Amino acid sequence: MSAIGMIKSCTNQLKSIGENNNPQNHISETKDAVIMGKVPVPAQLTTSPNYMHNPVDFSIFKNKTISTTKNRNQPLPSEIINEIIQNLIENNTDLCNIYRIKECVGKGNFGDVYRASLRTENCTATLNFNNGKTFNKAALTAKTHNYEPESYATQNSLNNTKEYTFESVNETAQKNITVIPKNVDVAIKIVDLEESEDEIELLAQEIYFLGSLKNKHIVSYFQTLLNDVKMWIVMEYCGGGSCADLLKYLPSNLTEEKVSCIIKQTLLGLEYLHAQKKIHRDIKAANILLAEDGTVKLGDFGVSGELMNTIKRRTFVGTPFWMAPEIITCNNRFIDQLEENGNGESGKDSTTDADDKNNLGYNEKADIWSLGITVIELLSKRPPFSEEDPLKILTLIPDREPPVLQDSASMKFSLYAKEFVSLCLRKDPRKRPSASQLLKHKFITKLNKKNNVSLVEEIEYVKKIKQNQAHRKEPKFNLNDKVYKTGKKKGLVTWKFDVDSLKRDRVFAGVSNINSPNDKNNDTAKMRSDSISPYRGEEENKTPRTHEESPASFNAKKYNLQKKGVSSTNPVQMDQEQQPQKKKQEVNYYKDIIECSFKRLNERARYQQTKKVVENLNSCFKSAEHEQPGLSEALIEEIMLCMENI
Amino acid sequence: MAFWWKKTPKTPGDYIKVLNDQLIKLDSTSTLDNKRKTQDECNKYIEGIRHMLFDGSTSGQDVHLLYVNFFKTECLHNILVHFNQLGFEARKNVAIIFCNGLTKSMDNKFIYVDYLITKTDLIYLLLKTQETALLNRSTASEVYVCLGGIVDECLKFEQLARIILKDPIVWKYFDNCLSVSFEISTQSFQILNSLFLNHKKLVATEYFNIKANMDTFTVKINKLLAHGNYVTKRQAVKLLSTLILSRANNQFMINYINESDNLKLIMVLLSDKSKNLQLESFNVFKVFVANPRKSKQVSDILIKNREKLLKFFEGFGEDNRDSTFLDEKEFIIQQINELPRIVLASKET
Repeated sequence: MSAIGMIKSCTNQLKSIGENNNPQNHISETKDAVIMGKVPVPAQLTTSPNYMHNPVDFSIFKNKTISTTKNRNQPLPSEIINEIIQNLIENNTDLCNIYRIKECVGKGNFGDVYRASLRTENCTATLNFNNGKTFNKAALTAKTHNYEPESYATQNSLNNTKEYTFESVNETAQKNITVIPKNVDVAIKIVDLEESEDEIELLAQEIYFLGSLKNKHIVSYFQTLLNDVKMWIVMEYCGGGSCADLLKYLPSNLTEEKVSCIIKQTLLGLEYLHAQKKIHRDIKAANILLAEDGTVKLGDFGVSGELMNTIKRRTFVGTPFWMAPEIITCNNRFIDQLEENGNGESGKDSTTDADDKNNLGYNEKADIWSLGITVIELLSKRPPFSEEDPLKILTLIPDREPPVLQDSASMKFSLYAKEFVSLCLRKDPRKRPSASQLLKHKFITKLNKKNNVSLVEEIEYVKKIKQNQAHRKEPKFNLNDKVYKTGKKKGLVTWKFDVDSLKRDRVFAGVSNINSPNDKNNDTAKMRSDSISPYRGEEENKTPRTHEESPASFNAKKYNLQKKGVSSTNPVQMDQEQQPQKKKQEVNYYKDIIECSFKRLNERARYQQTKKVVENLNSCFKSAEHEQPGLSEALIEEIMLCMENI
Repeated sequence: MAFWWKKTPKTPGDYIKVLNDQLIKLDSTSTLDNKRKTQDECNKYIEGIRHMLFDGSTSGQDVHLLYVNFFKTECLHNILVHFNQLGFEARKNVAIIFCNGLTKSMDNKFIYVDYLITKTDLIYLLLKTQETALLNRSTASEVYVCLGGIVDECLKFEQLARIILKDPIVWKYFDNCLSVSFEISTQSFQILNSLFLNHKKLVATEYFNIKANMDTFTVKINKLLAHGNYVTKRQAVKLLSTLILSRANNQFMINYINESDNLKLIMVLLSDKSKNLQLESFNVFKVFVANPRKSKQVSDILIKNREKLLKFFEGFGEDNRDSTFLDEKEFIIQQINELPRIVLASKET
């Protein structure tokens, strides 16, 4: 049973509950859900027949290749993807049936990143199967043909069908809102939640953050899915790689025009980000990504922070070479932490944001500093101090004068570029211009006057080199490692929850083990009493007491209750509340049963001798009960069990 | 932006009023084009308000007036009613304005929090809007998370948390935790965490003092523990253990650990294949075992599984070096060891 199946049956349950308007029914129904599955392993839900109605058989599409359309690069609106995928999930589809995972394109502390494509053939198939059912709002029409949902699959004409359009009858969009491009690539960051030290809550916050950004110059976030114990964060794929790739593979340096073009778009992204009161905190060439058409997009928000109003951040995060001095000085504990972590790469969030209003924190201007360093990096292939040890850098940056863009024998830079860098690299964050101000700087406006600078050539060039080198990254985590889908066993241990059978099995290895509640302080010992009462008697009760019903009738009652699916919590809780009144009705096993039986035996005895033996026995029991309260009850229970077995 | 900026009203009060008029107009416009135009207007004015509040050039007096008008006129009500019709950025802006407004204080009082307490229908509207956002599937998670941020901010204030806690709509958050959408599920948990953990005393004395609340909570959280996905289970068991281990919630703890069905659930989670789930459910399991006054049913289950438990704990949390954990584990093993042994009846007969 896959995890998705579980989700599916849960949602079905959720739906049925949602339809139930009577809150009283609602509660009892959910209680049943817990009680009825005696062993509440999720797998018990596999019997839920709801998703069996329309199984999606993908096998028929196996050998079909789907023609790509012209609209390859058109982005897929996240709403549509969300809706398609939600449908697939609800149809109990494995995530691997939704996305085809391709090669690993990056790895980091937070997880591996893969290139993947949406298996649109599956999506469209599902859409057809579900057409008119779950897709109430969107009516699917095939442009070239108009199949009936049933005949669609059998006609096997996927190859003929060029593209599909959604015709939404939703009032906000009456015209064709999207053409789903086939084989569109996405980037999927796979985070193993079982291995990650981050709290799920923090990761979720990061994801909300990504979801709250919609800008041409920021990598789009589509959605997050859960597969086994792994979180799949689906993002826009930037086919052009990062600016760091350009630096690495291009034979010559980037011209100032090209850099200006990159920085302009980066600034546009930053302007949007900063207007949202958010900081990127890790601006560098490696995080400036390129779409295949040359659009520059800010990526890797793994360490971004939210900047609420005047509250500044006090977390130490980023990569040393690009780090603004105020980040380094804002927190003196950082070096200790870094040494503990044992690496000079991006440190982890170490402190939570404290609402200090002094100057210890930092704000969005830290990104401007990093941008200045990035300009140097893009123009001269390296950030300043790059020969130094990353840890040593941390002491150098705050102490030294800000780096400058220096001419060298091979490279001469314009005044615009030099001025731009020096503006970004002002040590006092308040004196640094904002992203909006920088967009008006001549480095941006003059060098990129006609907006005709394109990076496509460079991107193509790098792409070819990468292909020739069979550029591949080895993922840190194995994609196929699964916690839940291996083996048949659901858990590590199968517990015995059939407590009713305890009665049959239970023969205690010694009378002394049954009960020794004499010692009032020894509560654990007391608890071991196998008294039949669901709640132990009051402390002052030396003899465990129980319901007025005999154990047998009580068992029968309990059994019936469970059979009916009524929560056994109810009777128990009632007992607890009504304990004071009930006390009087409780059975004293010795008095009401043993002694009573002996009295009757006594009456039935024909001879005086017999009567005497009975009396002796009775007094023996009396003293035994006195010495070991609860013994009578245990004895009767055993007798009952033996009787049952016979 | 500049082209419309000039036409904008001068005073903050007028500003809110114009926005309000546009919001009301959303209901009366018939044609799609007009509606879209009105929506754009609303988005612009909201953007404008946020801009005025945060660009630093607005005088303190004006900022104050903006907030007063934002909260204390029909404006907030109308924004919430039309929340789904606002644009993506406008919704975010509303959240930013709202959340910042809550933190504004005057004479050591959170004036807008104090105001909202008197306007409980606004709080209900907020919760209701969030719930109805789920109906529009294409934007459900986005809007839900956005409003969730506002609700979460409200929950930081005890008086607001009290109002929300007492509204039955709160139970919906448990159901929403089972959503297939990661965002909706985790956001619901975020709210539950804030709701039950932010103000411990409030929850203990005004919520878990009612038996029905404890029972419903148990049923709801158990449902998540039993039927949730990996993430839901992890978050649910964490919330449960935090609640149970908090001294203030003694009454709830007793209620929970006396019920054998709860123990069964926790034992299943204890033997889950995920180490994180095991460790987190151990934090609940240990309370069952350590309880000196176990209920009959609970001790029956423990007795029945005595050998299995002892074997299980041999290999439990082996890599964990945390000394508190090790001490607790040792104690629990000892407690299980002291449970009575059982011998099969069939052997003797």
